[in-house]
Formats: sequence, structure tokens, C-alpha cells
Amino acid sequence: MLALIPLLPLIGFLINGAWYAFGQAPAGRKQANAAITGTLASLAIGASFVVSLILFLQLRGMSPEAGDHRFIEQTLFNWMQIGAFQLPMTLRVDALSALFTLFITGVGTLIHIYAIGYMSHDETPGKFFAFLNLFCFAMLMLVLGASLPILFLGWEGVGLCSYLLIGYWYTDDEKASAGKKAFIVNRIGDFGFLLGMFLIYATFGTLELAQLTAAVHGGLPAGVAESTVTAICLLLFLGCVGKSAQFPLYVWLPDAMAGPTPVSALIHAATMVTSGIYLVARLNVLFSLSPQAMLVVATVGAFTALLAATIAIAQRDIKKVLAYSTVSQLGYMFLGCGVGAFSAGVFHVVTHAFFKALLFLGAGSVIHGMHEEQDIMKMGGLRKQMPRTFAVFAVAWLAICGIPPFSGFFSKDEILWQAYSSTHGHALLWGFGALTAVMTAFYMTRLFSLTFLGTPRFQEHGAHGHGDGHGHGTGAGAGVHESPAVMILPLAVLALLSAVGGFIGVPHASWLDEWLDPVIHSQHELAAGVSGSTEWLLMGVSVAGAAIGIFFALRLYADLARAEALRKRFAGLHQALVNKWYVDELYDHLFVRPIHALSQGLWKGFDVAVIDRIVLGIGYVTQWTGQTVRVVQTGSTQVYAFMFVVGLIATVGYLIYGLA
Amino acid sequence: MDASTTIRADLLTLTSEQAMMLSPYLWVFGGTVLAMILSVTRAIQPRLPVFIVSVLTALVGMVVSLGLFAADRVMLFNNMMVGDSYANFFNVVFLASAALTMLASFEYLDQERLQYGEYYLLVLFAALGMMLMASALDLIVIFIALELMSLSVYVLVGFRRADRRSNEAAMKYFILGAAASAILLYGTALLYGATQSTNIRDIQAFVQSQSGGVSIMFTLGAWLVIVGFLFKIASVPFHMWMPDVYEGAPTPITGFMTTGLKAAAFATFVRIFISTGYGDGLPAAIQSHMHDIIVVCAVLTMVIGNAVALTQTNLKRMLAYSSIAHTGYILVGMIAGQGSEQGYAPVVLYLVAYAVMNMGAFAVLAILAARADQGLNLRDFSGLSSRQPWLAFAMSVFLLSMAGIPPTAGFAAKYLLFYSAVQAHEIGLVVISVLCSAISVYYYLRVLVHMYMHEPEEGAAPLRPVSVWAAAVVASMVVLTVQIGTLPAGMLAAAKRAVMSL
Repeated sequence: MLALIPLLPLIGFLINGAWYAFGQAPAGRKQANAAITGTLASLAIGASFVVSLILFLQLRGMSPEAGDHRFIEQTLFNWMQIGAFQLPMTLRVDALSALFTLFITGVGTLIHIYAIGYMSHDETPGKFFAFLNLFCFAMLMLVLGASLPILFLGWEGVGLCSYLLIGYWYTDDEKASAGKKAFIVNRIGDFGFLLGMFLIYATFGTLELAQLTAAVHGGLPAGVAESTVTAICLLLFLGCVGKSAQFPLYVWLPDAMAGPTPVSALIHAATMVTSGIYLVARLNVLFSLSPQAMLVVATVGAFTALLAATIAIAQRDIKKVLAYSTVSQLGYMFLGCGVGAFSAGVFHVVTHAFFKALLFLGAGSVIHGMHEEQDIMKMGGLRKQMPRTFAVFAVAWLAICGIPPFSGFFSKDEILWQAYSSTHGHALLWGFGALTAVMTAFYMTRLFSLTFLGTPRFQEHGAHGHGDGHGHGTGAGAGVHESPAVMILPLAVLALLSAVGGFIGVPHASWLDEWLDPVIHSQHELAAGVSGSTEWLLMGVSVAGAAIGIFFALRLYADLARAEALRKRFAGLHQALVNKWYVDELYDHLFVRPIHALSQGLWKGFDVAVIDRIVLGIGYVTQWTGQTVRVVQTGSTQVYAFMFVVGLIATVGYLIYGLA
Repeated sequence: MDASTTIRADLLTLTSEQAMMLSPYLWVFGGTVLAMILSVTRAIQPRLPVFIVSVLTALVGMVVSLGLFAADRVMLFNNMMVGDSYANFFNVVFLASAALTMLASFEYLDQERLQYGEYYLLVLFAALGMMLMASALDLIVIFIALELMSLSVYVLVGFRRADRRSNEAAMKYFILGAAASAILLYGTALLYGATQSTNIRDIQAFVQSQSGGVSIMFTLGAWLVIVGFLFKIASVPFHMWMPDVYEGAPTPITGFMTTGLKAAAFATFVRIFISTGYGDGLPAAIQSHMHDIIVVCAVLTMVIGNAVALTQTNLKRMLAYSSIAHTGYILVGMIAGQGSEQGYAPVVLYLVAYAVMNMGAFAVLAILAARADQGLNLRDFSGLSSRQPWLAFAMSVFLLSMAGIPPTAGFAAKYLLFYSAVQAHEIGLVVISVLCSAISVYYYLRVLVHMYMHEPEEGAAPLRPVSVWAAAVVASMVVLTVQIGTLPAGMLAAAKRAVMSL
């Protein structure tokens, strides 16, 4: 049963992939029907969702009081055995992975359905949906794997799919390089992950997650230094920094927006990028043992949150804004984990999956309706043309800004409160978080206002042509139109979830905390000098901050001339923000060019001059040997028989000599 | 004396277990006879019926053997034969190899205008010989089975009667093979003289009972038997026949020889090896000297096989030399077998992996071969990726597997083999093996370069259409190659079980 969850998307991948590889690819590029392949893929992941739901209910049925540990395990086969090391292919679902499985398959299904509409003009939907299914398979392996190598298998698998889907339109050079960038930057993180894994095996002698957790459950095991644990955590965190796009490895995520929008929503907002948080939450017991590592996690998270939020303010591409916003929100989640509030971090993963998927899909709907226009400066007033998209987008906007009672409020507030009050927390961390919250409200409102409010800033051709299901022309002739129902429906579901999803984690009555308790034992330990009433105060501050951000942005962007004047006044700062603090340029000068120069030098000075000569020399010697030995191979039977006899006599002689 | 006059009932009746164990042999024999009758019945067109009956015989026999794999050991015919997991494991390999050879041959024989029923019969007879070899416990039975197999294969090698090379190959193989058989038989005679028995187990018991060392006669006899097998597996310096024979034989038969025949020779070799030459009880001097000789043979086999393969431009010949090189790797495994934790299981696994990838590669060659086995030069493979993308892909998988690159069967098998050699403290051998493997990558990859990076030759002859049978063979071998490569545990467990039953 458990195996079905990842297996179903894998089957979908195989069918769609085979259909593409055998059906479409050899026959040349003729357009295929997205509805068939898309429905198939959606059914695969949808069925997987149903299975996840059943398993979730099964898990709920187990009572921790009765001694059940609330997990289901299934070993499929023994993958490999090397000496004493065994690696069974074991899947394991417990409270944490059940939660992840649910929203991966749930949100995944919605995005698959949405993509049927979005990819309707695509030439190779079979390939697209095959990759999308393969991604789901890998992601599910990641969260269901019972040991680190299997988790790593999924980890690499999602990386591969991410690469394939970012560069999906690979004929465009820029998109292809975006894919490469994502892959290479992630390699740096994966390197850390691998080293961390090796160190874990060397230290604890196991890679099984349950055994590892059990080994460190009661504090530091004997013979293990705290510095070792810190090293392990930091190495693993390096992996998370890569995969979850944290400073300094976040640079790939904004470029990853080159992929189709459903991909951005599924992989680069809702699921894959949260796998870093999953890993940290999964190993929360280990991380808790090392205050230094926790501090690093929290600091990196807080800093990334703020940095990305500032950059988001000045971006003009609707998807870029959302991308930086994702980086920023991921920073929030790590901030939560870093201050010991792992369940708050996971909570934000869930709510973020809802509203960020909704934001991306809404943006996709806008892009689709505007015929591939992504510049928000060329939009405006879309609430009239796209009323449904406008409505759902508004929900997501309020959710991410943290306005109660939308979902984002609860999770964000929980993280902020913990950042202030927990024993690992600090007022400074809270300050970073709160400032980010204000900025988030500001840039999201800016995006919202420039896109949907005000007056249109685009040339409206055939404005009467809008509405559902009208002919999809290409470009200039057709007007802006609302997206078809197959795209709007998933949006509506996500809007509902974004609106009410927060109630699973109401402070002090949190269902989520209780549910995650077997995996993440949350100790609501307050630091000295923090009282309960502070919580209400901080909550008020964060809501007020968000309100101020929204209000200010609404006022500013209602009158674009004023915004322009403000931009002129801070031209230098604005330029820095538009250019993302020149981080890409910095990396280019610091790493890319020196490495390139070094590689050039090694290539010409060492490889060609030294290695090649050695290799070719050995090659010549071997060739010569071969030619020489071949001389004996004359084809004459007599020679063969002679050699046979010589061999016989020589060996027998040697043996008799040994006996004598 | 009495034994020749009294009738022993237990030799004439079979228990039900014995009958069951014998069923694959009887089935294959029966199927072969049926196919023979069909092929001489000229009233009906013999082409399809013989083919189908033969293939079914092999396939059903394979399934039966597979079913018997887990059964307990049964002694047969007064301990002259044994039905154990080891025998049944190899029966599966032989019959699969035979079935796949026949499937891959069907279209090929049509093209070559050689579609005679005898072809399939001979393949089946050879397979039956192999099965008897792997389950025999008596040197005489082994000899007879070996001859059954060899004679069938001699004819198959010369099956392209109109072709000079094919005839020449058959003749050479026959002459040299006969010499090797004579040596094997002579060794058997000497062993009988030394131990009063031709039964492997008795010989083993004899060796262990000798506290003061063994006679020269025994040593000589054991070694001559081993030489007989070194000839069959084509180890240097007894390898000279092989390239010529492989090149001259019809392409599917070459595939059959590298898979079935080689596995049979090794399967029997391992059985004998353990009990005569390499077992406990022999004086240390003999053991170390035998060890030395085999180490030298293994090294020479690897070096010469790989070095000469490097200079070949004909793929069939290249694969023949590479087959010699692989023999060397397997010899390394045999040397290591005693001292390692896995024992001889890596050898068995390697044989299976090698059989799988070679079967596939030769099936591809059989598909691509032009009339009279022309068109198998490197330049004929130029640009194959654009002319036949799937065949090129399959060939790449097989070649990468032979080179030992993950995630293919060749990698897993090679890894386990070398690992066991490391455990047996044969570090020097492993270093040489790995270096030789590195050399081999060159000539394997060269084919890939031609297939994927060169343009097709101007005016290249059009390729023949790919038959369903051959395509099925290639596809299933690709799947198996990758399956063993990614999940070797299952196959290794089976190999271990087989070896444990020895």
C-alpha cells in the first residue's frame, strides 16, 4: 500500500515517457494533445493522493497512548549489500512524512490539472507530464525514504527533474543555462550532504533515520563529540542551503523561473525547495544537540529572508518577484527551525505551499492571459479582464502578507514569536523577521497593485474577445482573456486552503504540534524574561507592520508618478536592488572567472601537455604490444598446435619441478 | 567382478525425486527428437515448426529448471550425475542462451539462405551437452557431455558451408579441440590410475585421505584435465584457436559460444577445480605452483586479450579478443574463490552477467551483419545512432557493461569479482585486472564514438529490417543488463545458493 504512493507517479512517468519516446519523438515534432497525457498524469498523482489520504487516516487511527509509534513501514527489496553494510529499499511513513506526502500529492494534483490548461499550446506535453510525474516520484521517495541514502536518491532525483524542467524549452539558450546554473549550484550543496552522510555513518554506524534518531534521542551518545555533531549538522545544512535556496546559494532559484509556470509553482515554490526544511525537521533531534549549528541555521534563515525581500521590491518580472519572495519565505522556515521551533517551520512549509502555489499559478494565469507577458509594469487593471484570477490572487496576497485569519498569519506569527521567545531565539532574529514581514507586505502589495489595480498599461487589441474558451491566437491579434476553467478550478481549491489552512496551527491549540509530536517533540520553553502577554504584543506588532506595509504600497502605487519620483530619489539604491545587490556579478568575479581561468590553464598547461602525453604514450605502447602479439596469430593451425604444446610442456614442467 | 553380473535394482529404477530432477534433460531431449522428426518430414514446410518447437523446448526446459532451482540435491545414476541448485542454475543459463540464440538466428538464417532445421537441432544438442556437463560428477560423463556439446558446435561453426572462412574455422576448431579432448581424456586416465576412480567426489576423498602427499601421476592427471578446460575457456596460451573460430562462425553461433559454451566450460571447470587441483589436501608445493601457473595464465590472458582487441577493426574479432580478456577476469575470480567471503559466487555472477551482455551484443551484430557476415567493421557502425537509434542504444548498453561502467551488469559483476580478489589478498592481480579493464574501455568506447559521433558512410548498404524475435532478444538483454547492474543482490543470492550446493 505504502509503495503505491511513489509507484503511481512512476507508472505515470513510464507511460507518458514511453508514449513520448516511442510515439512522438521518432515521428518528429507534431503537436500532441495535452488533455490526454495531462489527464493521465493527473490521475496518477491524484490516485497517489488518495492512497496518501488513506494512510494518513490509518496513522490517525493509531493511538500513541496505546504504545503505537504512529508509523508504517514497508521494505520493498534489498537494494545492495556491501560487507556489513545493508541498504534495504524501505519506505516509512510517520507523522512528518505523512504531512509532506499529503501536500505534495494534493498540491501536486492541483498543479497537474492546472498544467493541462497551461500547456495546451505546448508541442511535447507527453514529455512535460512525464517529467512532472517523475518529479513527484522522486519527491515522494525523498520524504518516504527510511534511510539517508534513499532520501538522497530522491534528493538527487528532484534535482534532476528540476534541471530537466527549468531547461524544458531548451532551444532557448538562456533557459538552458538557467537549468545548468541550478544544477551546478545544487551540486555544491549536495557535496555537503554527501560528506555529512559519510560523517554520520562514520560516527553512528548507521544511515537508517529511525536508528539515528534513537541514537541521539537521549542527548549526546557516549564517545561522540559535540563538535562532530556540529560538523554533521553544518554539512547537511549546506545541502539544505543549496536545495532550499538560502544565502549564499540562493542564486539559482530566481533563474529557475525560466521553466514553465506550473513547474515554478510545484518544484520551485511548494515542494522541492522545502526538502531542506524537511531534512532539518527530520533530524531535529540531531540538530538540537548542537547550539552552534542551530544558530547558523537561524542566522542564515533570517538574513536570507531579509536579503531576498529587499531584492523583491525592485523586480519587474512577476515571476522574479515571486521567486525572491519564495527565497525569503524559505528563510523564514529556517529561522523557525533554527530557533528550535521545528513544527512552526513545518507549519509554514504547509501554508506556504498553499499560498505560494496559488500565487505562482495565479501569475501563470495572468501570463497565459496576457500572452506570455511577464513585466508587471506593462500590466495593470487586470481585475476587470480576469476577475476570477483577481479574486483568488487577492486571497493569496492577504495570506502571504500575514493578515488574520488567512493561513500565512498563523504560521508566520508562530515563527516570529518563537524567534523572540525560545531559548535559541534572540530579539535581533525577531527584528530581522519582523522587518521582512513589513517588506513582504510591501512588495506583494506592489505586485498586486501593479498587476490588478489601476488602469491598463498595455495595448488592448480586440478587448471584447476576452472570456473563457475563445480562440487562442498568437500575440497581437488576440486580447487579454481569463483562463479556462481547468486552470481556474485548482486555483479556487488552493484559495480555499490558503484562506483556512492556518487553522491547523492555532496557537496554544495547535493540532499540528500535537500531530507532529512523535517526530518533533516541541518544548515550548520560554527564555528568561519573556511572559505570555508578550505574545499578544508581538502578534499585534506583526499584524500592524503588515498593515502598514500594505497601506503604504497601496498609496504609493495608486499614483505611479509618485512612485517614479521616489525611485528617482533613491536611484542608487534602486539600481542596486534591481541588480540584486550585484551578487551574481560578485560570484562571477569571485568564482566563475577564476575557476574558468584555472580550468583553461590546467587544460592547456597540464592536460594537453602532460596527461595527454602520458596517456597517449601508454596507448602507443599497448597498441604496439597488440600488434606484436598479433604476429603469432597467423591463422596457421600448425602454429596454434605448436603453441598449445609449448604451453602444455611449460606448465607440466613447472609442476613436476614443484613436486621434485 | 560381481558388479558386472548382478543386476542392481537401484540403478534401473528412478525415485520420483530423481525423475523430477531429470525432467529438464528428458524434456530437452524429447523436444530435440521431435524437432528432428519435423525437420526431416519434407512433406510440411519445416522452417517455422522446427523453429517454434526448438525455441519452446528450450524455454519450457528453462522454466522447469528454474522451478527445480530451490529443490534439494538429488544424486543420479549411481552418483555419476547430480541434480543440485548449481546444475539447475546453469541449466537455466544454457537453455536461455540456446533459446535466445535461436530467436536471434531466425531472420539471420533467412538472409544467409541457411534456413535448415538442423541448425536448431544442433543448438539444442549442444545445450543438452552443456546441461550434462554442469551436472556431471564423473570425468567420463563430463567427457561424453563435452564431446556432445563440442561436436554440435564444430558443425555449427562450419554452418556457412559456402564460406571459406567458416569451413576453415570449423576445421581448426575440430583439430585443436580434438587435441584438447585427447589431453582431457589422458588426464582422466592418469587420475583413474592414481585414484582408482573417475568420480569427482571419490577423487576428492582420495586426495583428502592422502596425508603424505600425492603421486606425480595424480598431479599430472589433474593438471591435464585442467588444461583441457583451459583450452575450452580459451585461456592464454591455449587461446589461439578462438579468434579465428569466432570470426568464422555464423554471428549468432559466436554469441552462443561466448555465452553458453563458455559458461558450460567454466561451470564444469569450477566443479573440477575445487575437487582436483585446488582443493585441500594437496601438498603446499603443488598448490603454490598450480596457483602460480594459473596466475600467470590469468595475467597473460587479460593482457593479451585486451592488447590485441585494441588493434582490431572488425567487431566480431574485437569481441572475440575481448572474450579472452573476460576469461582472464573470471580466472582471477577463480583464483580468489577460496580465500574470499563470497567464494565462487562472484565467478558465477560474472558468467551470467557476461552471458547476458554478450548475448545482446551478438544479437545486435547478427541483425546488422550484411550477407556472408560482412559489414561488421568499425566504419560500418559509423552514424548508427541516426540510422538505427534503438539498436545503437542497446549496443551502447552492452559495450558499457562489458567495459564495466555503472549502472550495468558488467559493473556489478566486475566489482564483486575484484572485491573478492581483494579479500583473498590477490592485490597484485586486482591491480593488473583494473588496468586491463581501463585499456578495454578504449576499444569499447571507440565503437560508441563511431556510432554516435561519426556520420554514416557514403553509400552504406541499407540495413535489413529487424525481426520481432531478434528485437525481443535485444530488448530483454538490455533490461537484464540494467537490472543486474542496479539490483545485483537478487542474482548474487541465487549465485551464492548455487555455489553453496556444490
